[in-house]
Amino acid sequence: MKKLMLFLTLTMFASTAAQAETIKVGGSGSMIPLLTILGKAYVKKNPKDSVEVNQKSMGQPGGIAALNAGAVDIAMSAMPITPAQARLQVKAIEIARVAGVVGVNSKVSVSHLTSQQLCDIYAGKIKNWKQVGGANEPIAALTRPDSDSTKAMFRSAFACMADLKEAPEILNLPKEIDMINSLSSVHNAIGQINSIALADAAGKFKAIKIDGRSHEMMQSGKWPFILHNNLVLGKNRGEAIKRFMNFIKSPEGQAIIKSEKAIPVAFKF
Amino acid sequence: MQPEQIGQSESKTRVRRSLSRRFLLQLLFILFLGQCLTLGWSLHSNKNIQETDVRDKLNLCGKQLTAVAVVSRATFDFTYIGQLADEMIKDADLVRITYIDNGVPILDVKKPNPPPGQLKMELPVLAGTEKVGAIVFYYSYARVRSNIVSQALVSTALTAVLFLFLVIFTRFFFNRDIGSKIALINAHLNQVSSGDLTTRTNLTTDDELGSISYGLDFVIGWLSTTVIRIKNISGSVTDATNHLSMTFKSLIDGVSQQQVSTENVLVSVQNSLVSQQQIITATEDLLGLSSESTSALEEILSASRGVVEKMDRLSSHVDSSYDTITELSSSSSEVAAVASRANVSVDAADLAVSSINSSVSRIGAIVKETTQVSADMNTIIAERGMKSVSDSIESMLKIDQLTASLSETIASLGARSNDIAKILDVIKEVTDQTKLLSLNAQILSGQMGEHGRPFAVVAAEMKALSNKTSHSTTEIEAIVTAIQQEMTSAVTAALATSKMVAEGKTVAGKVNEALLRIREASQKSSQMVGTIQEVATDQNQELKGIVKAFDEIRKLITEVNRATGAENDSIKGLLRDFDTIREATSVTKSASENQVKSIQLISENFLMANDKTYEIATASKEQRRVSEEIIVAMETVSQISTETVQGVKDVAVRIGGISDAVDTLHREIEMIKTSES
Repeated sequence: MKKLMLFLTLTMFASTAAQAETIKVGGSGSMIPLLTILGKAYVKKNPKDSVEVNQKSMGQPGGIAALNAGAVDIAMSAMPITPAQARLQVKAIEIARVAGVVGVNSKVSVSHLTSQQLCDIYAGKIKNWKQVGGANEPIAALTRPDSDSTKAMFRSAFACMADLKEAPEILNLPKEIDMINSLSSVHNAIGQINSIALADAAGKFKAIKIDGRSHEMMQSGKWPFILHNNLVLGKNRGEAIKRFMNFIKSPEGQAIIKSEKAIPVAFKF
Repeated sequence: MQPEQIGQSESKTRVRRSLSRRFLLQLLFILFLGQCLTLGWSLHSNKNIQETDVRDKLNLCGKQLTAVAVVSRATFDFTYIGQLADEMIKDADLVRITYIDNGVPILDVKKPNPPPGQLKMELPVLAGTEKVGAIVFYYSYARVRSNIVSQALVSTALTAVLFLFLVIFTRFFFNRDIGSKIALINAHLNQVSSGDLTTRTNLTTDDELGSISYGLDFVIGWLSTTVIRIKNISGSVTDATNHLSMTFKSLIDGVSQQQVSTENVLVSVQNSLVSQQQIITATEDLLGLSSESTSALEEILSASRGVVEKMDRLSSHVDSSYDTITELSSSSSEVAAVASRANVSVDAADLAVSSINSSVSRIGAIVKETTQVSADMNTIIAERGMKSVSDSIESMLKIDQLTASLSETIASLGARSNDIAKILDVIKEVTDQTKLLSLNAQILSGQMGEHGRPFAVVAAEMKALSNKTSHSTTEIEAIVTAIQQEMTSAVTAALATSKMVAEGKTVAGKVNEALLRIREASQKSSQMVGTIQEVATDQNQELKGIVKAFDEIRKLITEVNRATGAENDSIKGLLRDFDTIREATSVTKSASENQVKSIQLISENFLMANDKTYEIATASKEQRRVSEEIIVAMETVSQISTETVQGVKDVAVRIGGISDAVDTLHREIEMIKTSES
């Protein structure tokens, strides 16, 4: 609700600016917080423009489809676009890398797992936290659709997850917000999330180490689970888009990215 | 070979030899094949059903996805369809799900390590009626195949287990209910096979095997009895074969002798051929003689007919002479009457002188008439009677000559008939020999069996010809006998004729003498009549000497009366002789007619004999041809006899082999154990 109010405020602010241009952004739900902050900062600096970040996750394909259909100007893609998407006269620009996080409910006592244990949990082989040194509680494993960017990066981060066939009892959640809520409320839950959502969770769920490595080690390159936040530009590459992209590229934008526990990626535009 | 391999080989041999086990294996094999077929069909059907189910399922999933896609594309929120696709991709049959919306790939969910042979199902995503995208399912029947393979393996395993149990149970029940009994029967059969016929199964179960066992015991018992009988028979057969061997040796000798006999028969037949040639020549000569005899008979017949004709003429002449003599007697009576009347006239002259001239004239006329009568009588006697008698004598001589010639010819014919009888004897002998040969030939042909059948036909024909020849010979013999009898009758008749002719000649001589005397008396009478005429003439001329003359006349009349009486006596005697002649002539005529008939009969018989002789000649030629065929056949017989000897020797060798085999059989049968042994 708070974000919705922010969106409405930004929109109202933008609409009052002279020769205002609206930049519509939509796509991967994991990038919504970062882009919302960046949008706010941009609008603050360029009050004649407005940035509309669709707070409802479309998913990476939905963002591309909306971009292709002209429904948005910039699609958010938390992963590199696919070759098929690349053939759509779009251009993906990675602006930041966000650490993917294997999060568990705060009440889960297990703080680290091996990647194999992680895979066995999703394969249904390990069904109780006791098996991995935790309490005698059943594991409530949560996942996202394979079409989701976080899920795609999660699979590519751990070798055993690449071709893993998830067990039927694994709960598949369509939206990131569903994952955040589930991790926050379901005891014994485990799922894929990102460091930005983890920072916003306020301790309702936590990250665990995998193979002795935590997401905080991403900058050193030891953490494999990384979300590549891309902004995909379509046909509309007007001045406002350029201004927005330049803003992101600017130190202010880079600083915002860093403040959101993301690592900015230098890009050319 | 290892002991294990030997055991397996024996087991295979036992199974191969055991009909029931083989049948059981075949039944199990058929059951197995049927089970496999059923299983195959079941798997095939199940595969089709599962594949249909997969298609139906994917079609349903596709419809769900398209429905979600239609909703999602309105807000570009494809998270739910992604979630749904994630769940769907968990389906074992789905390999990959793609959703392309207006050329933008929305979904591309796929399984790692996709199986080969993927199938594709495309479902359109419609916005109203416009196709805006397509959801494509890539799927495979790998699970179905896996299921089918798994099912096949499980079913095969279950079938194998089932079969194993089936085999075990079948083997158990089979061995318990059938196999053990069959083994028992088989063991007893093996005992029987090894020659022990004392064994009995004594299986009294109330089933088919019990019946078979009962039947087997019965058969073994019957076989035992039969073997005992065969033992006895085999001894007899051994003796019989030995005897048969001896018999065959004798048969070989006999056939060899028969071959020699056949060669002798061949020589005999060749001799018979020569004899038949002689018969043919003789019959041809006989035909010639018969022809000559026929000609002679025809001549005899002609002569006999001439004799008959002559006898007719002779009879006619005799009758004529008789009539002449009768007339002569009449004339003589008339002469006597005239003389009497002359005497009366002379007496009357004495009484009536006046009437002397008329009387003398009348006497003269009477004398003239008497003279004419005497002349006529003389003429009759001299020309007719004498000529008739002469002709009769001449005919008698000719008859005598012909009868003699006929007798000679008949005698010659009798001799020829005897020759014919001798030839007939030869023919009869040859015919009998031919009959004997044909009988031998029939026996040989019977012994030769199928090979002798043509020869049997020739032998039968030879026998038929022999019978025909024998029959013809018998007929000829009867005819020749009849001819000889007829000839004897003819000779007798000829002798009788000759006798009659001789008697006729004697009578004719007497007649001739009587006629001569008649002629002389007649001539004398004529002379006297002439004298009377002369006297009468003189009386006419000289009336004076009438009384003397009348005395002379009376004397002369008395003399005439005496002469006429003598003449009458002679004529009476002549009539008696003529009666004898007529009788002899009649007898001769009858004999000649009989002779003609006999000669005609002889001629007919000769013609018949000629026909029969011709038949004999034809039969002899046929017989010669048959004899030549017989020679060929006998040569064939000789050859066949040689082959028969060889064959009989071969048979003897085979019988020797049979004898050995029977000995062996006897020994082997003796080895069979029976209740008597």
